[in-house]
Amino acid sequence: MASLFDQYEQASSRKPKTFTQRQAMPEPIATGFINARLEDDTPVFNKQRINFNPPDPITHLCVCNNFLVMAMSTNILLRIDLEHPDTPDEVELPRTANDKVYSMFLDPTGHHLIISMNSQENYYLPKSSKKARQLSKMKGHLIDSIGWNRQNTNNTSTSAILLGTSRGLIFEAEIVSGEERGFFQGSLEQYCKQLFSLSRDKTEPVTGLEFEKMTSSLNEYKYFIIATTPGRLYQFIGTIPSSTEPPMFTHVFQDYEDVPERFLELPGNFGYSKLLMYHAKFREQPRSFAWMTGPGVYHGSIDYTGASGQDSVTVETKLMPYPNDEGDRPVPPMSIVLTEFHVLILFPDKLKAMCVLNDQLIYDDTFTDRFGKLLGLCKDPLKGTIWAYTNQAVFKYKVIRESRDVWQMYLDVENFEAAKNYCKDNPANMDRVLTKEAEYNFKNKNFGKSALLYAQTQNSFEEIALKFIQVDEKNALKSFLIKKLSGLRPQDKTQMTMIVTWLVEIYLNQLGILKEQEKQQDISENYQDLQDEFQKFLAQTKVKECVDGNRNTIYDLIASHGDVEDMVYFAVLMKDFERVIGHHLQHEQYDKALEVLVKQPDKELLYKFSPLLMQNIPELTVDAWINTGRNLDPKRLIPALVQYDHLKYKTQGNAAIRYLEFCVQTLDCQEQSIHNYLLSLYAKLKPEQLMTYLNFQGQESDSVCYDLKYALRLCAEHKHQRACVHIYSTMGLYEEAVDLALKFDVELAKQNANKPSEEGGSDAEELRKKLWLRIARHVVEEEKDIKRAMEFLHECDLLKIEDILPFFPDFVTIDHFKDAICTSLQEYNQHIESLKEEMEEATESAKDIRGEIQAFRNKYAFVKGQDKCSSCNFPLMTRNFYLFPCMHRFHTDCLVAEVTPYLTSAKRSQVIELQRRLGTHDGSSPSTPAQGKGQSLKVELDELVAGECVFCGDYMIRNIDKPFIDPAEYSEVISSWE
Amino acid sequence: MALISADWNPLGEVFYRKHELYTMEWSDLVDLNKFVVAAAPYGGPIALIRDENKFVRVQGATKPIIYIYSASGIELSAIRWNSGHVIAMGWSVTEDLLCIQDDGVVLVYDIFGTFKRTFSMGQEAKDTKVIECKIFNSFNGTGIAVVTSTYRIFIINNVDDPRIRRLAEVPGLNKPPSSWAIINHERQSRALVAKDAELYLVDHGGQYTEQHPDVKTTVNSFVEMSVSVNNKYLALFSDTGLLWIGSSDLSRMYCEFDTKSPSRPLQLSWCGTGAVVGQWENIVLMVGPGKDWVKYSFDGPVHMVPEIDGLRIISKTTHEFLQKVPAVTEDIFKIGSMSPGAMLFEASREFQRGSQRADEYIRMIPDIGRAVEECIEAAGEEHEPSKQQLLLRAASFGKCFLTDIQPESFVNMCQMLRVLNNIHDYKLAIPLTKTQLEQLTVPVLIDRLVLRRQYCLAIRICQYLNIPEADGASRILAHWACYKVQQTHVDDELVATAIANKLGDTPGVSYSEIANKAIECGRTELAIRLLDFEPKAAEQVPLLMKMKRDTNALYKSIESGDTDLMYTVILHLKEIMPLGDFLMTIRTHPIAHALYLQFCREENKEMLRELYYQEDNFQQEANCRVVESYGEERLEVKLTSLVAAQDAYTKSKNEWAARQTEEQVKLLKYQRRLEEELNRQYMDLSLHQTMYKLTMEANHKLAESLRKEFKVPDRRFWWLRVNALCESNDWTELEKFSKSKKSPIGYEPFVDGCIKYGNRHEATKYLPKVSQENKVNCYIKVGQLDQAAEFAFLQKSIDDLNIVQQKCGPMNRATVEKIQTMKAQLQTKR
Repeated sequence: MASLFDQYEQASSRKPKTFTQRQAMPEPIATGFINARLEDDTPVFNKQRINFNPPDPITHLCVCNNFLVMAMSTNILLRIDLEHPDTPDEVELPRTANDKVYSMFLDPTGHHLIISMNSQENYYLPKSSKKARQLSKMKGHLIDSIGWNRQNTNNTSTSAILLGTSRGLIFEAEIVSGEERGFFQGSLEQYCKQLFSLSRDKTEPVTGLEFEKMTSSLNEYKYFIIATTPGRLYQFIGTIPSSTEPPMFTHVFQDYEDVPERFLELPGNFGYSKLLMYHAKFREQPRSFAWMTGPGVYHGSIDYTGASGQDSVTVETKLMPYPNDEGDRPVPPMSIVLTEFHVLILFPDKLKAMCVLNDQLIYDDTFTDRFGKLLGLCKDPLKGTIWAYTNQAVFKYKVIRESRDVWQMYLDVENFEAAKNYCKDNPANMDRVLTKEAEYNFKNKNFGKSALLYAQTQNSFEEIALKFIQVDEKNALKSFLIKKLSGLRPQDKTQMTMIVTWLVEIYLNQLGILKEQEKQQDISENYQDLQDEFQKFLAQTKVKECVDGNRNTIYDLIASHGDVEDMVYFAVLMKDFERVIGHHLQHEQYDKALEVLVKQPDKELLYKFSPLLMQNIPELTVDAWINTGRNLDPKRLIPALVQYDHLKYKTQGNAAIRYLEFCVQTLDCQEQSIHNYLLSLYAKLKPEQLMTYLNFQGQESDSVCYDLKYALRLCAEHKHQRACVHIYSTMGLYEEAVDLALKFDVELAKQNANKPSEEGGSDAEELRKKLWLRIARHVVEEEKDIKRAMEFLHECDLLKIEDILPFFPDFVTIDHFKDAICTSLQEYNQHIESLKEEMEEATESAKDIRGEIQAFRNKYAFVKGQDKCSSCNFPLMTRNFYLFPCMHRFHTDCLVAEVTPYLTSAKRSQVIELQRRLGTHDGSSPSTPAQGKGQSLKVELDELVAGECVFCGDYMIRNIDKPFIDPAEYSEVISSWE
Repeated sequence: MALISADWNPLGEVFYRKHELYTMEWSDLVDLNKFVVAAAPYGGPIALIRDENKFVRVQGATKPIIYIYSASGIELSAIRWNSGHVIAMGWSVTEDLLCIQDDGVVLVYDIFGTFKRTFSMGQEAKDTKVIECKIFNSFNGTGIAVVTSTYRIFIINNVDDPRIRRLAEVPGLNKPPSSWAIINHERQSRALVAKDAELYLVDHGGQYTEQHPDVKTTVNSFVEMSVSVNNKYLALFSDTGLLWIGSSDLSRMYCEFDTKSPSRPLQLSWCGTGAVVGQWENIVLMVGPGKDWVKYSFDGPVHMVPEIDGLRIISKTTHEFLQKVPAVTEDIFKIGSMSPGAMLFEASREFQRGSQRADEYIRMIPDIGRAVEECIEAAGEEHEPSKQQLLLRAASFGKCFLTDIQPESFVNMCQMLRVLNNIHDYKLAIPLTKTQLEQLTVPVLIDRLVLRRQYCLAIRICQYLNIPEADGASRILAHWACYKVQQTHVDDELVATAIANKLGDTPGVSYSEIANKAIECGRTELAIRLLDFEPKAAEQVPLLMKMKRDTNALYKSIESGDTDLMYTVILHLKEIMPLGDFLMTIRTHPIAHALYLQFCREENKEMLRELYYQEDNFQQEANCRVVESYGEERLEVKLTSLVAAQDAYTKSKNEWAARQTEEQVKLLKYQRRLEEELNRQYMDLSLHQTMYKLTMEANHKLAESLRKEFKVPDRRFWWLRVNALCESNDWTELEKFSKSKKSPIGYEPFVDGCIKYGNRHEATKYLPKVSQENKVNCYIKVGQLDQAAEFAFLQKSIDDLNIVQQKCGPMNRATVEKIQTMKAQLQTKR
């Protein structure tokens, strides 16, 4: 795109030397940073020429918000919207004889253009219109500078702006170009009031005018106004109430009215100067300012906190002299542009960029006079692009990542904070900054901080560790290691383990030394908090999981330091309870071992150490077991429970009983060996508990948890008969239970006798009868009195007199039995009576049902001629049909067709068979003798087919829940439809 | 008996029962408190979308998916939701899934997740973002009501034609309404909006009326309200836990129940019309109008779907149905109820068990008819088939004891139960109850089955219920065919054969619209195959043409015998085919060929001409040329075309025609020469007229030369001269002509000619030369009656005398007596 003489011109321009400071000779591989920086950096400022040839020479150029306005010597304004540069539009300025554009100002949003002509005529051109209207109020004034109001966004009025004239007068104006009031007339009425005149003694033009809102409380705004004349800088600070209508700066100025003017004067003025503000983003407050003066660029930053006195907002101001490359005389610069870190200075034939931080010349760009002299330099406040123009050409400068070397400068002046946040993106530089900072801290003796910083840097671990070891700073080394540890990635476990081991060793040393010291005098709390720190260190998860791989080394370490409770703590931490318990057991602290045992989750240890504990502290052990309760498997505890020769260890026995009871009652554990053992303990130690236990166990055999046979043998040999009876009855051996019970008390036998009832229907009845008979026989045979036999009869409803009569010896007198016999005979009688009339009404109902059947025969069905067959809707009378009492009528073949799918296959074949025979049968002429057989076939067929009506019989009901598509062929039906 | 009424729980003096419809098939991939559930009434599908405000939406994570499950939890389809944030989902009456986004755009999907259409709730809703919305059933379909962030309510009464109307502003509503509901009274739907304690009834007519429900206790805001399905009752829930139940127009208050629960119910809806069910965390409270309540507790969240006769409760594992125990069921199964139905049921149970107490129960029933009726009714109300069978068995048992019975109710109930059980089946999962089916009506059910692509089942049901063919089976078959057509992944042959042998020849299904559908989804091959089955040619052909199958379109149209089909095909062929092989294809079909000829005859003739020329049909070609010759006004063009016609005739070996043409050419040349010499109009006259005109203009030599030239037979020539001379009134020439030689036509024409043109006495000159037997007629024509009589007398013919006599009018009486005397003389001599 650039023509060849552009290249030649570029080549000739001795391509701008960008002075980056000499980089250090290539250090060896800095620790751990291979800079794989692939593309070398583009220079901060690179220029390109806009290929635009102005129709006639350019006198002034302004760019704001991508809106470029060029004033040409023929008083034609060329406006180009940079987004769509293809439609530049020209604005003709009303041209009187030979006066030119004196100056041109474009507001930051690019909507308002103010032009002042040599003939002191000032024009206003809004972006939206093509006709420049003249500012009549400003007639007779040459405008040198305008302070635009950055807050205003509406593009029809400029709102309050400040105008600086060549006579040092400051005006406040607001130009509203509203065509929204009616049609076709519009004097842009503006108000402009002279606020202040700077030139008290001699008249000097106001070359720079900027104002900005400082803090704003709710009803009043604080503004600062900076005005510069060539050689003087004026600052005006004032508050205006928020509700003032324009002119709103007047009483900022009038309290500067009669005080002697305060300004900052710099000598050597060449008649003009520029004041520039830099603000990071468009609408926010400017952060730094640059003022082009005689000796150099006076720059500083603006602070709104009022740090530097209440009537100046400039702080850390410095004068940066112009770089004049040696030899030729200093030519005054034409204009400057301020960026975040650099100041661009424009000279008639070259452009220089200085870094404000360290006054270094970074960029020097000389122009050939092919395009004429450089006229001006301006920066787009919104877009931040920098434009330089000659009267034939326009150049654009791009600033790329100017903050790249800033960190280096801050580093040299040792403010590490600033350096850090300028090299955030480049860890190598970051690392260098941190190293410098660490060394700096190391030199003036605060080792702790430097240790932390060293830990963050990449340089070699050994070197730093040795440094701290040399200056014998254990704590610094410790914090360094800890920091390093936290910086390690979880998967390089080796390093972690090493550091942790070493740290443990260091802690133990310090603990050891502290323990030594406090044996003399008792400054023990820092031993205590060192110990806490150590324990905290051990407790943290990183440490935990990398030591649990090699806990023996830690054990050896701690063991070699011999402080036991750390070892215990560590063991606890490592959940290595076995060691803890073993340790307690060795020192016979059984209760301590117990509570450790109780606290720890591993049950195996409990089973392992229980026998020992049980021997020594049976009560506590049992309590411990009881407390752990549910999740102990009592079966494993049995070896702990068994003692030989119970008498010596009665306490153990009772404790065992207590625990087993606990198992049985609260845990209701079903384990047979538990119950057997408990049973045997009861049988030996507490026979009286036996029955309560047996009763507690309940009656039916498959829900008792003890071995019935074993229990039986046990009770049998310890002579617990009641228990035996109980066991027999649970075993369901009621005969033996009753026989045994009859030996010692009959009541028990009675209870047992009517036990077998609930299950199993009839033969339980007779079993009970047998049992009661046995009791009755026993009652009758042993004690011979009949009365007891009689009232024995009453209490049991199963036995009647005739059951027990045969047990009586052959008696001849009736007198005891008479009424017993009579009662039973009576109830037989009325039982017979009740049966009789039950039979009576059964016959009754049978007779009249028989009657109904007879009567049903001559009910009739009324078939109308054009009745339709209920299934095929054809007229019924055409074929032979069936008539159902529920008013449904079917043709015979329709009925057969309907019924067959419901019939079972056997019946179906029968039907077909019958039909075939019937078919053959009445094919031959109806000979009278065969009538019978045909008739019987018909009857069978009717029986099968017309047994009940299809629509309202069982068939219909049964296929209520039959699916329409029956599942067998469901899939292919669906697939055929799919 | 006890077992049945076990799970009824009493609500005042009515009972409510809850039983399990399905265990949900969607096992654990769904848990309800992560999803917003939208379930359709009438046993419709359930749509689930992940509940946004329960999740912090990890942006860029997966897009929410709308799962559509059937009522039994079988996944019907899943829609990957990739547009906008869904505020609410709902089902319309035609079972379309309505998804309302927060910018008011409503997307309509059908059951299978295919996107149907979209419409928006208006510009304002889009700008101001919809915060809440409700889908309600208005009188003609489903409506949508939305509340925008500016607290305006926009309503659409019918999603099919989405006319948005804005309800009136609620005055002073500057925060979202605490609760609102849509009530539609006689055909117009209003919104009942609760602004804390005040209730406003707003409608789109712009005015709002503040309602004052008579609430006894003070409430400071109504946080929930719900309208019963039939829009008659309203339940209001206040933040103090007060549940107010009253009529929907707020005129009557049935009860105020204090639930004492501070939090607003997750869901408040009506169970039928008798109870209000509110659902909180794990408990579902059912409150009846009589201030009595039942509490069900569910572990985990449930979603309640109001039905007209109950409430479907969808929980994570089961799908249950809560409903009022119908009166008949109550009478029958209530413990110790003596109603005839219960007795009959008891009797039948005894009978099944084979004990004879059945007889006693039967006798105890006062009238068995009602008992049977009750059992049939109750069977309808039961959900389990086994219980239905028990009741129906009881009914049929009772029926035996009845004499004149109406079996229809039994049969209908059985049929309906079978249908219900089938659709209730978990594969299909449309859990309808009898009342719902009656409400829904069977045709609607069938449409829904069709909608779910259960064509086979729908057809079986139609056949089973004997629904007439036309709007049952064939309609379903048509739907199925269209659906089959849309299945692009099946190859055309299979589709066509499947459709053909499935549809077979059921009347009422037209293949053409199925073919149309096939064309719509671009399967032309299929459409063609389908069209072969279409007997009606009129529809076959345009579709074939639309699919660029012109030859067999032509072929079909020919064998259909419908010419205008042939025309369309031919014309269509004409402009898409190059002329050459268009003619080739036409020629293969003679009928089409003839038709096209006839068409050319109308349209453009030279196309016709070189058609004939190409076919060597010189005959016709000549005719065309002759016709053209009349179209030409310049002579030599006429002559050229005539000459061309002439040699066409010769080529067709038709000498006669050829000679006539060249004679005509000669005649035309003559006439042209005559025109130049005499400056008269002779063109296009026939030879005869030319000579006639020539003789009339008295240039006889030309007429003579023409006569010799064209060999006019002289009989004709005499007639011509006589008529021409008479007409042109120069009798001298006539007289000379008559004397020139003996006339081949006799002399009457001379007499007739003179008479016709008016001078009689000229005619008398030719009288003597008239032949004997016509002399009498001539005299009569001339008017000399007495000479006629004398001549007749000389001929002695009485007939002639009679003819003369009857020509005599009243004023020549004398001749009449002479004729009578002559007649008398003639008769005496004989």
